[in-house]
Amino acid sequence: MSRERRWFPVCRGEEAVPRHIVHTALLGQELAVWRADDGTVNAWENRCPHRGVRLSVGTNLGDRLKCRYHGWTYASGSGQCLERPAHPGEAPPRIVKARRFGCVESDGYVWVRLAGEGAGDGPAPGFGRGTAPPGLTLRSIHVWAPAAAVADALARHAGEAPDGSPAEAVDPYTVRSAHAEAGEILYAMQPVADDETIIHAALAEAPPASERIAVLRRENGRVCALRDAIEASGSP
Amino acid sequence: MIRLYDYVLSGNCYKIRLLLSLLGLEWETRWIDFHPKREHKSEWFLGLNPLGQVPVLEDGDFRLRDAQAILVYLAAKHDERGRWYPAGDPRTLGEIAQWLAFADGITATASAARLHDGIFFELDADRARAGANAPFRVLDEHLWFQEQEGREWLCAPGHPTIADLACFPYVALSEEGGVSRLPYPAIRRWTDRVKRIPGFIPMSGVLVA
Ligand code: FES
Repeated sequence: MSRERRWFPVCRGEEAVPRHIVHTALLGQELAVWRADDGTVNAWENRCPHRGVRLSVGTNLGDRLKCRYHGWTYASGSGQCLERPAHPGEAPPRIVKARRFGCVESDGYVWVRLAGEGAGDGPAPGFGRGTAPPGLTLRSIHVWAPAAAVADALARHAGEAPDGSPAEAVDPYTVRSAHAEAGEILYAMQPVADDETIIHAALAEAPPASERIAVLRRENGRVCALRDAIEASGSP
Repeated sequence: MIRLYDYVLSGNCYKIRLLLSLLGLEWETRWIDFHPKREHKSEWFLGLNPLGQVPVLEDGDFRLRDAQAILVYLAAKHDERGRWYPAGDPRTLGEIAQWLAFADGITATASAARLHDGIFFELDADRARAGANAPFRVLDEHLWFQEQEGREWLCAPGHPTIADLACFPYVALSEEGGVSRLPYPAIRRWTDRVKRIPGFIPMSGVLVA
């Protein structure tokens, strides 16, 4: 299975806020991820087709993205270039388009795939729990370490189940653990680049509303401690 | 009349211009030639500020140095609505003081990456990472949890304070010094919000949202 054909989470869906452009990367490919006002999420190469300026420093106009440099705009969905301010009254060539990647929203996250059409290789986008979405998505944590090292550390340390059963590496990028306090936790790696990973994590069951913030803080602290250990030693 | 001793590429000077603009105040600028003249180390300037640093502010016969101190003074004196520095709100004042001190910390790391005696230079990426990562991680985490509690700014009130202005410039400029903000998505959402405050003015290197 090629990594390029696999779906990876790139951000929590609610962090693709209106009129904002999320700057992230997948397998070394920089991405500009943005939500149009109609709710559509776009994942584009972070590079303006005109002169290569990063689209993530541009402006999300609600139905199109405007490049910072010469103001060319690109339509949500198609990526088609709509305007070139230096050429008023002249329609941009059909061929000028932002480079788009496969992008779907599922289980509270935006999932991106760099190559392929249709169902593609590997698991469907999502945490693979069938129809039950996770109860609570946690803060995503950025780690300066390769995805394999991070997944391995999570599988060895994130478990702490009451019966001592270790966390389970579902596949090289997904870890499932049963935690004494939190219950089932799902971790999905975003391989940002060779030495850079973002851990996206979710609790299977939502805690009571009154405990939500406390649970978010507790789980954030747990993953940050693991991140610090991974970064300090190379492998905790 | 308010007079600001100012250097165009200094984030600490820019945050004062930003507050002056947001408060709708008029001021007079005395530009300091950092490079190559090193005017901030000249005898006459050291007479104004023995630390040899910009910005320095004069308001009539009152003179003040230190960007964070100047923000406090200007907001306390000239903000009629009392929002940028809410004098009657001890908790918010405490929070603001905490973030003003933090702003000094990011100045020492992120801006060291950016400015060296007024000259841009390439900083070793690992050093920039190591130095700037720690405070940026603290800031990103704080802002993420603020969002979870329905808050858009560094401190509790439902509007920005001088804490946001104090921390903004060096965060926004950090990419010039090779410190990527890709790992800090909550910081990127917050810098977008700062850029949309009515009356926001950009500085060289800070893009308007
Ligand atoms: S580089 Fe984007 S419009 Fe020119």
